[in-house]
Parts: sequence; C-alpha cells; structure tokens
Amino acid sequence: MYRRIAVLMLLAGCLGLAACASHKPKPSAEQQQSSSENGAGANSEGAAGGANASGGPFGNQNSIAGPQAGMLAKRTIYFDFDSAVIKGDGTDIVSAHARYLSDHTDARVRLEGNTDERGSPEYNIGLGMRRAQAVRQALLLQGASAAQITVVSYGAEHPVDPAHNEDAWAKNRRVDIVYLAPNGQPTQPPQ
Amino acid sequence: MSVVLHGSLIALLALGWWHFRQTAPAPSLPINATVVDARTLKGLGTASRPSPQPKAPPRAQPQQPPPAPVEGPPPPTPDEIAMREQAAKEEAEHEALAEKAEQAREAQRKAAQAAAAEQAAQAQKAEEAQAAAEASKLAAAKKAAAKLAAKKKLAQERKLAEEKKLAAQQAAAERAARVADLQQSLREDEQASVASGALASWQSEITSRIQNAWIRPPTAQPGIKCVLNVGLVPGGSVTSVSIGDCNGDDAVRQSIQTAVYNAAPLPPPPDGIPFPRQLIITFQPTH
Amino acid sequence: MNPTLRMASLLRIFVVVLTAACLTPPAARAQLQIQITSGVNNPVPIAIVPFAEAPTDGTDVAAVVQHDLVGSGRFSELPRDKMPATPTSAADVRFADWKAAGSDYVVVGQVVPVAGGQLAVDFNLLNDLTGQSIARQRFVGSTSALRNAAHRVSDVIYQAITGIRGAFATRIAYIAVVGEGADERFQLVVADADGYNQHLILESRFPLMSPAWSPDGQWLSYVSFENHLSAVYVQRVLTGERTRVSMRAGINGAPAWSPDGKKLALTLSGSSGHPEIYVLDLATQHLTRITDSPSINTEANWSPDGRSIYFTSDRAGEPQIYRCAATPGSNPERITFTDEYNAGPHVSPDGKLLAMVTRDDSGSYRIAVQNLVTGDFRVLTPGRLDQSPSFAPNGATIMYAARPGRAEAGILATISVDGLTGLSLKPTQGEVRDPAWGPFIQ
Repeated sequence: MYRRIAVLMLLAGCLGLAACASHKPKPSAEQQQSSSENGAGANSEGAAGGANASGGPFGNQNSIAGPQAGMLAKRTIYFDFDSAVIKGDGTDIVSAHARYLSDHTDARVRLEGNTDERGSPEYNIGLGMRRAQAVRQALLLQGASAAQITVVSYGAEHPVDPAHNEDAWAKNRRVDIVYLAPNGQPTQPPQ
Repeated sequence: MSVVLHGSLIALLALGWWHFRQTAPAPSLPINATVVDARTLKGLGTASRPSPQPKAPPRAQPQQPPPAPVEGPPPPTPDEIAMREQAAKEEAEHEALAEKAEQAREAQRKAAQAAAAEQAAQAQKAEEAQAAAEASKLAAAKKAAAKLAAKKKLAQERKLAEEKKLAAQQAAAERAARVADLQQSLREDEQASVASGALASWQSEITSRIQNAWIRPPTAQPGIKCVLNVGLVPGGSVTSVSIGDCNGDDAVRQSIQTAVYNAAPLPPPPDGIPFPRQLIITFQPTH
Repeated sequence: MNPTLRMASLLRIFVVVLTAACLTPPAARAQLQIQITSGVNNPVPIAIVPFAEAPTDGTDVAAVVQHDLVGSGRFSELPRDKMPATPTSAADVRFADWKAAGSDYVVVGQVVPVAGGQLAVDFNLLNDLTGQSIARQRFVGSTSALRNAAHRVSDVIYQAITGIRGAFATRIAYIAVVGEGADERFQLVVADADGYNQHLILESRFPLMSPAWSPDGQWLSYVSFENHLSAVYVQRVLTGERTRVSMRAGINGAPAWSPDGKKLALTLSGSSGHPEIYVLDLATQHLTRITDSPSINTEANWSPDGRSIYFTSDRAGEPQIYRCAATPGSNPERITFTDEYNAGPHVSPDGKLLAMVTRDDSGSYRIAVQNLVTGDFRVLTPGRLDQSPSFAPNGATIMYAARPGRAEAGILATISVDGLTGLSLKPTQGEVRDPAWGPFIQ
C-alpha cells in the first residue's frame, strides 16, 4: 500500500521537476544558492526569506521554490492552544522540508511534538503527538517518505521557555523538526 | 507544454491524495488542516448528569405493642335481671298455660265419661274440637316459646353490645385520666404559662453549645447513634460522663465525651425550673 | 363498623397509651434529654510536649509528630512557648492546666536507649478533659530510623482521634528537575511522605515522568526519554535493577500497576498515532488492547478491585474521565460531566472517590474530587496550575503538584479530601512534580 503511494509521489515529484524544468534552469542549485545567501540571517523570523523570493539574480516568476527558500532554515511549527492545526507560516515551513526530504531520500528527521505546561502531563503527551502527527501527515503528502520520519511527543516536559505566562506557553506549543545523521543522532540541519 | 505537465502533475497529486485516503489505515484523526476543532464540539462535553438523591437513612420500625390482657365478664346489670325475670315470668306463664290446657282436658274427659255412650260422638266431636283447640294452643305456645327464644338471643346480643360499649367507655376514661395526669405533671414542671417557651429555648441553647463543641471525626457518619449519660451539679459543671448504647468507634466515643466537657459549664435553666441532675445526650448525626 | 374491629382498635389505642404512659419516667423533672444531630469540622487542639531525648540523637521526635498531625489539616498545635509544663510521662501531667491552655489532648513521651544500640520511643496520648489515657505504645528501631518511629507515633495518634488509619509512615516518589540548559537533569526520587530522607533512584539528561508504585512498594514504573524516544521501565527500588518494558514506536506512557501487581496498564500509540490503553501481563508479556477510539486515550488508573480502569479520553471533544472493564470489548462509561476539562484520574483506596485535574471557567487547573457513589463533585485546591493528584493509602489526603505563583518553582502539596489545607513540600533547588504516594509499609 505504502509502495503504491510512494510510486505515485515519486511520479508526482518527477512530473513536478519536469514541469519546473521546462522554464527554470537548475532549480536545486538555485535553491541552495538562494538559501545560503540568507542562511546567515534567517534564524526565526521570516522576512528575509520572503524578500529573496521576489528579487535576486536568480529570481523567477515561479512560486514554488521562492518563498520556501528561507523556510528550510526554520524548523519549528507553532500551534494554538488545544489545537493540532498547523498555523501561520507553518504550512510553508512544512512544504519546504517536504521538498527537501523528497529531494534527499537519505535525509532523516525526527518530529518532536510539544505542548505548554498546563493540564495533565500524560494527556499533554497525547496532544504533542497529535501535533507531530499533523506535521508528519503534511510532510508525507508533500513528498517525504514514511521511512524518513520518526515521531516523538515530549508533551510539556521539554519547553523552550520555562516561564509561566502566555508568551512562554505560545512558544512551547510547537513541533520541532530535528535532522538526524545515519547513526540516529541529531545532525546539522539543512540551511 | 508546461501547462499540460502542470495539469497532469496536479491530477496525479489529486489521484495520489485520493488514493492515500482510500488506502490509509483507519485514520486516527485526519490531523491535517481539516481537523475538527475541538472547540466546535463544546456542546457534546457539557451534558450534566443529575446527581442521584442521597438515600435517606432507614427509619426504625416502631415496636408492636404487647397483646392486651383479656378481661373477665362483668356482673349482670339491672336490665339483665329484669330481662331474666321477664323470661322466668314468661316461662311460668307458659307453664301455667300448659297446666290449664291439661286441666281442661281432664274436665272434659270427666264430662264425657258422665254422658258416656250417647254423647260419644258429640264427645268425640267435642274432643276433636278440643284437640284442635289444644293443638292450636300448643302451636301458639310454641310460637310464644320461639318468640321468647328469639327475644333471648336479641337480649344476649344487646348484652354483648353493652359490654363493648362499656369497655370503650372504660378505655376512654382511662386515656382521659392519663392525659390529665401528664398535663398535670407538665404543669407542675412549667409552673406558669410562659415557662414552656423558656424551657425550650434553654434546651436549644444547651444543644447548640454541645453541637459547636463537637469536633466530628470522619467516622461520625449518619447511622451512628451514641447515648451519653452526663452527671451535672448546679452551676452546670460536669461530674461524670458515661457512654450508654453506642455503635461508634473509639474516635467517635472520644469526640462526644470531649464535646460535653468542652461545652460545660452549662447555662442555668430559667427561673423556677430546677437544675437537672442528669443530662441524657443522644449523638445522632443526620448528614 | 364491625363491632369486633372497633373493639380491637380501641384496645390497641388503650395499650399504646398505656405503654407510653409507662415509658415516661416518673422523675421527669431531674433529667433533661438533648439531641445532637451535627457538629463542626474544626482541627482538634492537641499539645505535643517535647519528648525526653536520648542524649546522642538530634531528631526532635515531638516536632516530627506535630508536623505530621498539623500537616494533615485535622489538628492544631499548642505552641511550645504556651505549654504550662514539660512533662514526659502521664503521671506528671496536671490535666486542668492543659485544659486551661486550650488543648483537648496531650502527648508525652521519651526516647530511651535499649539493648543492641537501638532506641525506643515511648509515648502516651492523654485526653485532658476526661483524664484518660487513650493510646500508649513503644516503637523500637535504630538511631537512623528515629524519624520513622516518630511517624509511627503519629499514625497511632491520628487513628485514635480520627478513626482513620494514619499514613505518615509511608513514602512518596516524584520527579525533580534541577539545573538549566545543558546542565538540566531529571531525577526520580523516593522520600518519606513528609519530604525528608530523599533517595535518588535515577538521574537522566532527558525527561522522566509518571512514576507509579507497585502494590507491594518494591517496584517503580516510569517513563523515560533517554533514547530521545519514550519508553516505559520498571525498576526495583532497593537494588536499582531495571527492566525496559516497552519501547514501541510512538507513545509509551502512563504506566499503572494492577492491584495484584501482575499487570501494567500502558498508553501506546503505535504507528497509527492515537494513544490507546493497553494491558501488559508482566509474566507472559502478552499485550491486550483495551480501548478503541480515534482520540487520545491515556492515564489509566485501576479500580481497587482490579476489574475496571479509569482513564482520560477526549473522544467527546475535550478530555473527560471514563471507566471501562479491564478486559477488552466493554463500552467505556463516561464518569465526569462537570466542567470542560477533567483528566488525570486517581481513584481512592476504597473505590468511592475519584481525584482529578479539572479546569474551571476561569481557566484555572485545580484538583477536584468526585464521589463515585453520589456523583457529588467538589473542587479542593485553590491553585491555578495544579496537576497529578495521588491519594494517600488511607484515602484521607491527596498529594499533587502545584505552582504557588507564576514566577515560582513547582512544589508538591497535600490537601485532605474534605478540603482542609495540608503541607507544602518545597525543594531547595529546582522544582518537583509528578508525585506518586506509595502503599502502606507492612
């Protein structure tokens, strides 16, 4: 069953590449170049990536590669309270990583789901998993393969901000995309 | 060309998506952008269930009163005597009647013997006539006897009814006597028309002092009933506390004794009411 | 009316009146009858006089007993500077003085050395209103076990006055988080129920959670993320010997021991992604799935008779507490209907009360208790970020994780089931959470 999907995805990916190839020279190279141009600056805010999409020497009218260029550097997707709906630019971030994963079939990621600290700890494990699963589904649908993804939920146990206020809680409701080396340890993520 | 390729790409993606949905394992939640927001399901989660009424504690069944002693028959009343005399009279009358009939028969037999032969038929006729008369008289006498018997029965029934009436009157009389007795003793205690109100309020003051002093342990639940006999001296101090019937555990027993000592000294009773020497306290929590 | 019937009824009235008349005591004037139908729920005033101490020891036994009893919420202490005297045996106690000082009970005692280098703790619990000795006992142990002896004294006093078995000589397990950033460490700790005598059971750079005691108090089960993924372990407390019980794909969480100690309920999500309740037979390793619902099902907690499992499920939208049979195929029954969020069930040892985390309309997370017999629902704690309730083995007190203020570290706290405030257990560094109250120690 999964093989069939994978074949379909591969076909789709190939078609997509072909489609893009018809009027865009060397998309991979261009992507890498544009990403490294703003890799230094693009840490967590998205403005730089967006600006590069429209302008630049290799800028193009195609909308697929452009806005996602800076998204690859972002590896955190945020959620609203009690929700597993990917919000804001999370969908773009997911798309960027999905493309990368489909392009680099050796790449491996671990999706780490998290919640804010409120409520019952084990129920929060379930909520974090629900969010990680949402990101996993989105990745699969957009080119990644199941073998590339492992999923874990830390619930409320692994906050990035230990404060106890709305700001901190918003930062903790997240899924982190962690790139893994072949030995399973976290590795340098793509820029 | 690119349009065609893009179009087929989209078509393939759509196919893949559809296929994915068809062949995916029974989905957990469709955890993509189409997930049902939990907030929209608010209505399902707030149905309130009425809390069942707590059961009332079982009420003690009242004891059946012991059977009443049976009373002996009362002595005959004057009515009865009169009735008996009447009956005797009627009896005597009946006898007299019978005697008379006998005598008549004797006389006629003699007359018949005197005018024996010629008047045999006449005598016989007369005899027959007499016999008929006798028979009818006997019948009448029998009727009278039957009537008498019926009267006797009626008399007996009346007698029974009289007996019952008497018993009822006696019972009513005795009850009235008891009520009067109780009222008398109450009056003796109250000593005046206002005294009953003062007594009740003194009683409730003592009750609330003990209630406020009783630190109930968790094991003092409804169903617990403990009786304390408390010795008092004038001035309201407690001289002795002893536990009567009690189904509570040691913690309950400790708590009720402690409560009484802490409630002491008790306030003095209203004027005119002597200080009780003994307090009987029943601890019986209701909730 | 039938004459016989009337006769009979009149006779009955007569007899009832006669009986009533006989029962009225003749000397009614000298006696007063009072009915008491309620009382008060105040703490019992008690004076715990400093014990005569053995010269070599530093533990203040009376202070430990006082801390236990007052911490339960059911007692109030007479401060030492208000004590009229310092007797150490019953013969020296002048009851009237203590009554005048406001105490109902006085505890006196001594710590004396006995054979074998051990210490004996003797105590006497006296009611200074009745003048009677209520409880009197001796506990013998080593010098290092003196605090435990003091807790045993507290247990006896607590039971004599409240009727409930004391749970002061028990242990708790909890998670401590110390350090920050790269130095952050997670610890599984076992301590006395009052927070003293801490023992480090496990330390990890990765999160630990959900400790659970086996019914015999010999094992702890817990969740560890030491492989970057969740796994459930069981570990023998005394020796540290450790076995990994489940590290399947997805969630491995919320371990709960069955009352007979032979099975472990677990939350597993497999690759489907949604958590379900499973039961693992520890001897055969046979895994049985109990719930089947595309939602979050977790936080299993066994009923005391071992036949049912209470758990959290958001199948109705928001998390609520359900109960199902501990064998597969039963339809779960919803238990909680108050408020929109109820999770983390923990049932009392007598099976009548269910503790949980509830979120009220103001968004505060508090500990509540629902009476499983009457349906009565009561919020106990005043907090805003309370979690993880755990019943003491006597069912009288609940320990939970609290955050006293927005900027403050997490602590453990206790509260009695009728809402009387209890203890706070504050760590000297870092924060603590996820308490699990151990069983009675035989």
